[in-house]
Amino acid sequence: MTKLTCIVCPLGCQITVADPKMSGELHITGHRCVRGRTYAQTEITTPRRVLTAVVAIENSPRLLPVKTDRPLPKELLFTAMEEVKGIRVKLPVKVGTVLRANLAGSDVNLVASKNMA
Amino acid sequence: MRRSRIDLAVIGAGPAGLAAAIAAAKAGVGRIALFERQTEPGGILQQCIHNGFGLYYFREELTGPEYAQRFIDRLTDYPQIHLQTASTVVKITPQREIYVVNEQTGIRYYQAKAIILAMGCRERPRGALKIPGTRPAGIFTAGTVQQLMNIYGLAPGKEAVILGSGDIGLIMARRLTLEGIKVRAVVEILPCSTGLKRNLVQCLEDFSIPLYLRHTVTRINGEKRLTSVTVAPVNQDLQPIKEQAFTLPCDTLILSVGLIPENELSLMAGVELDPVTKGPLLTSTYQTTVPGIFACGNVAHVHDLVDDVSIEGEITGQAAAAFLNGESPTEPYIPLRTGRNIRTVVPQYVSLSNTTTLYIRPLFPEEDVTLKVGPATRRFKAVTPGETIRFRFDPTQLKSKPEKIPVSLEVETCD
Repeated sequence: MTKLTCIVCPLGCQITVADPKMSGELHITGHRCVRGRTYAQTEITTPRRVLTAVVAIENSPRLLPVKTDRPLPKELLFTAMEEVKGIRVKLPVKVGTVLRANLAGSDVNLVASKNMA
Repeated sequence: MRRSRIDLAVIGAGPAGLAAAIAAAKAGVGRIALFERQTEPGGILQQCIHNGFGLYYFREELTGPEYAQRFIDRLTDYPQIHLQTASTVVKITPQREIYVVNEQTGIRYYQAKAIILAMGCRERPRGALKIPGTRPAGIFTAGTVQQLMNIYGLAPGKEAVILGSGDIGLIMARRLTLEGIKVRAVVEILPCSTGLKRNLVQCLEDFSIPLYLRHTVTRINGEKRLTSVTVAPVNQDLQPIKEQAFTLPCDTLILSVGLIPENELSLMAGVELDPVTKGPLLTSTYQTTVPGIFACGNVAHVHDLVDDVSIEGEITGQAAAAFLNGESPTEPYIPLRTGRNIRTVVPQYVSLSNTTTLYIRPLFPEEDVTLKVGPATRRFKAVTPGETIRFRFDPTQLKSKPEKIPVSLEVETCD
């Protein structure tokens, strides 16, 4: 049995996942929405997190806030940060502009989270 | 000095001010001046690059800058809102005169028919904590570290201890760790974190950062630069147990020990403050004790979620519009009285004709309690000071007009 705190929303539901390896299907309780159930399923198999950071802008002292467009496998967070540190962005960018596809060899993209010109 | 006449002045273009100005414009208010001391609107959201904003308001998960952008984009639909950035309001009067300083245009003077205060809050600094020790470099508030890292790209140090487990502190623990700065520990004097549960998981547990509950920093050590902090557990009365003190080497101490609404301007205007929230006393339409002066967002009371700030901003903008239309309700407002295990309740006065959403903060964590607001009740499995209770109070439940309405959290008794 695994106990998890859901991180999908500020409610922070206490989710219990019963013996994932014993039975074929996961028995998940304690979540209050379908997203909590999905979170629990992912969390006990391949936990993922959204990564946010800032990246440098060419010829400017300003910084651009960025995020991954989907949660990234948790074990790739630090590898991804190394890659993010090397990125130099050319303006203009808009919210959602893809700055790096397949970040750290994963299936997620790094996107701008601010309009900057 | 030239005087400009305007209908509505909104002070602060953070989430509260943006929502209030847009709602007022939508409700037909003509000349609106939105004053912002920073060079761009958005307020503190611009440095909150992490995600988790907007789940309630937009039903999606956004970062701070994205959340702000949604409102900034809406401004273009309302040319009657004059956004004035790099413009600091230095004085307001009970007669609703506003003095604004800007580097290019100098001092300007406005006469407004209504004012919405949306100045936000600031962090409690080291001086508010009375920690003994030396005064070296390397002590920052969490929001300052956030600004240094996310706006200016500067690292505050190499090894940090965070005092206080509020959300900003937890968020910064993760941010520092991802940038390669060692976070030795988060130290919290209370028996529970004051941050959201999700942040304990994704900011501390994910990175195995220790959380010392019932502990505090008892001494700051170091001459020019911080070299370590002394940490000790505390007893029931929150007094340090010196015999069990230990030292954590670090060059950076980050304080995440609470926020104080920024009400210097409110006081100049004669607005009466609540001694506990440190924000103005408010009616259910967010009007202060001075007619025509309203307040919303973190200047009114510190919120857990920006989504609530936006909703409150909208209620306030609409209320200011109604006031300007002469619809100002002269109805009696009934004061709420905080009782057992209630730290704050906002608004402090409720209307007898409309439902009011109350934001209630308990004093201490408790399980299996019943919230009582006059005759209305609601059961809770657990409450904690870190999570505001939202409660819709319906005045039709009142049988007679009371002098005041008591608000309390009661433990069930078997009878």
